[in-house]
Amino acid sequence: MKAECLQAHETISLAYDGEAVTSEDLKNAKTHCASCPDCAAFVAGLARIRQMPSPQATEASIDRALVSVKRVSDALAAREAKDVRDAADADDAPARPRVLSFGRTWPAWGGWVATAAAVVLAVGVITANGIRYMNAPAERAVVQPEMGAESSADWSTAPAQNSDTLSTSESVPLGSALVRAGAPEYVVFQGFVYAVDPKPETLSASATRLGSLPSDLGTGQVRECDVYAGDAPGAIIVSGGRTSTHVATAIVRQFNGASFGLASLEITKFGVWPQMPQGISQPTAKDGSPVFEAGGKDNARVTIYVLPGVDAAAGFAVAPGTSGDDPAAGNPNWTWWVPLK
Amino acid sequence: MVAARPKDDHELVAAAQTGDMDAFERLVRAHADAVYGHALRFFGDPQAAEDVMQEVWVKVYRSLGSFDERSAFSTWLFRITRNVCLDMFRAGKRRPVPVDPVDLVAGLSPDHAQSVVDMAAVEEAMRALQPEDREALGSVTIFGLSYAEAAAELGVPVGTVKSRVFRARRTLLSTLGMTGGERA
Ligand SMILES: [Zn+2]
Repeated sequence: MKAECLQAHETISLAYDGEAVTSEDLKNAKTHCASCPDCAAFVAGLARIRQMPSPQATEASIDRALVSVKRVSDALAAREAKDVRDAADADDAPARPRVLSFGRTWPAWGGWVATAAAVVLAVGVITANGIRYMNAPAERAVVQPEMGAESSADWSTAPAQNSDTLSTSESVPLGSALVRAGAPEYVVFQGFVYAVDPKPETLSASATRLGSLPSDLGTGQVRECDVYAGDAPGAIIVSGGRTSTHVATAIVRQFNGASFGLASLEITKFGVWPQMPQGISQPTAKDGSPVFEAGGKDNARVTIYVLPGVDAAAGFAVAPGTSGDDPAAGNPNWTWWVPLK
Repeated sequence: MVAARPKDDHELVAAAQTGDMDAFERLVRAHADAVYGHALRFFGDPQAAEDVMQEVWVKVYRSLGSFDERSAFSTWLFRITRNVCLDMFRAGKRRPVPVDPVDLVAGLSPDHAQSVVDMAAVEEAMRALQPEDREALGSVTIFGLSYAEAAAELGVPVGTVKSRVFRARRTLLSTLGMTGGERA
């Protein structure tokens, strides 16, 4: 390549990027390009590439990022609220520093919080031929599992390093008494436990995305997996990438003619048993006290335990030790079941 | 691709720092293509690009309170995006894979068929660039950094950015057969 061609290319490339070039250099380059086919082709090529659309972020990737940010925000808000409580509890102790220097004004979240809420609602609609989650906020408020937002935050920034702490929650410590190895391959989506079929599945291009959940899918490395609507009633498709897509089926039991799904705090690793949703603790006695009282027996003669004064239709517990054919079989802990409709 | 204007960024960042999450979402949407584009060209894998998006925006959210606007938001965002990609690569969580043109055209209408073919070819050629050349070109064309800003972020002299960007362009055009017979 001739020296003046190289000079012209360089000047035009710089000018394209808004870098300073002298008017004389630019004039010389233009004059040269007008009479040199190679340089004219170079300029035309630059212009063509510039007009070409660059890769665009998919809506799904934007939604996923925003939902993750929302979870971090939730976790920080919860931590901050706890700091305030702690400071109030201990008069002499200085308040811990605020976690984030800017606040979270919930009403201002606007659009995409509504979008996230719509995704939750969509679960009820999309799986209408299978599970439709009970949509009575007042009743659900008592029993709806709350996700361990704090641990989600840890996952969001450091998936590998912090994965061991993911299943813990402030109200329900994950001690040896609560967790034993050997649980089935469980994931939790929208507070409900699903058993993952180890058989790999192919995700259809038309699958409807419902959201995401954190799970290691047995790899030991927790990551956010995409959740899609499944074909069968009560089924979802969990995808941790192209090579790890699986069908997962809700754990369901019947009582008084209604269906109830097994609820749990987040389960991020295979082999971890479900835990009572936040606000409901494990009873200390075999008869369910002081948390529960007997509320009847199901068709298989399994005792149903209810919160004192609350109808079983709003949710109930089952004691550990059920027989092998029971949906709660093998659980070393009390399990909590939430109505589906 | 046109990066969001600094003045818009300044206002959105200031609003987001006071807790206005609408402003934060607008910031995300204004710069999502840059983050996604950088990650897609880095890994050649849409799934990896999604992972990067998620990690980058959570990091931005967590540290926005300490962002003092001594640099432009896009410069700061480039730094975070670049580091997330490099961290994921180093940690072995993600490996660059050959780009699949089908993934690049997903979601575009048939009207764009021709430009999509071109775009796929350009993206293929982008992936074929030397990583440091591609990174320099992307910092300037996707994130809108000046050569001086790119030099500071990449830790190299301005002259090096200049030659990397230039080399990237010439290689790109040569690969695409747009150099009028002359081969770079
Ligand atoms: Zn020439």
